[in-house]
Amino acid sequence: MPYSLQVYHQTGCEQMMKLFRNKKAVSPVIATVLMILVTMAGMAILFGFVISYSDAYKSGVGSSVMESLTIEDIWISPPSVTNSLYTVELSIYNVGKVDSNITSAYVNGLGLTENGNLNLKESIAVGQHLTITLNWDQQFNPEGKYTFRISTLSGSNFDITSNGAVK
Amino acid sequence: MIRRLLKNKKGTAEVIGSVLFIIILLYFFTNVYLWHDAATKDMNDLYVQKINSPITISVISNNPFQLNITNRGGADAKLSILWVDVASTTAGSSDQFHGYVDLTQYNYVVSSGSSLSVSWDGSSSNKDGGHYNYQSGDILQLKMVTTVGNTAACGYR
Repeated sequence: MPYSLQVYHQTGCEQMMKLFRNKKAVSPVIATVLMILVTMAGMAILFGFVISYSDAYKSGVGSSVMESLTIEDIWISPPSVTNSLYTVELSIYNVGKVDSNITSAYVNGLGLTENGNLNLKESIAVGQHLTITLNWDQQFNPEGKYTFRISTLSGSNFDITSNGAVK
Repeated sequence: MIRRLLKNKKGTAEVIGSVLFIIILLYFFTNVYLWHDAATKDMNDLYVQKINSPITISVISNNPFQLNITNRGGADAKLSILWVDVASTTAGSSDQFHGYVDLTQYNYVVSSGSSLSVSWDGSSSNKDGGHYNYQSGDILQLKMVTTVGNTAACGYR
């Protein structure tokens, strides 16, 4: 007696299940996805580093090329009775393209020290005039020649030479 | 041999990857380089303007003060501030006063190669609130500053 075979047709759901159960080619796909993820992560880290580096450079050392300060006036007051230090007032004008932070000042290479109401490390905006008051522990000679120097946070130095007091 | 070399595809991915990596790095650092280049050019323009606008100052008269500002350069000079230092009339004693007159509001521009007469009433003030009025016999040093940082000074007694 002949047998009649029933033809079995897979349903769509079963086909999908079979596809999911099939483990062939899973490994290359995961490898590709992982490779893309690692590459993107690496590029993101590199991008972040470069952006932060360039921003830090532009606002830090790099900004020194755009700094230009002029010492427009120097005023030296004699020591008071209570204080044996000369008081030096430096009037500074920012003619550069960026704000500057003055960190130190020197007379003939010797540093001026901070005064009580000091405004060192104060920012001087573009186009602004600023007078800073400092102490000087050397003897001032009205006939002497003095080179005043101010240094900024970005590393720029600006000098002016004075040929003595107004006579 | 060259044909054989061209047909050999081994290592192509590494070459393409390296080229792309270098291009991306160049893109990043070109950003910094171009900024630095633009900043330097910007400042060079300022220095050229500064070099080309030196000024001199002299006192023509004192009642009221007429200051003659001469621009000896090829670029216009805009006056920013006038510093007034008053020396003591007594030998050996310290100077009397230093103050300034802000000229920015007056918009004084000295054209290249020409002179400008600036009136000054003989008064000045300082950051501490001090005030000065010229009196006959005072010894002055007047210092003019331009907006690009050029200075010129003259004495008057």
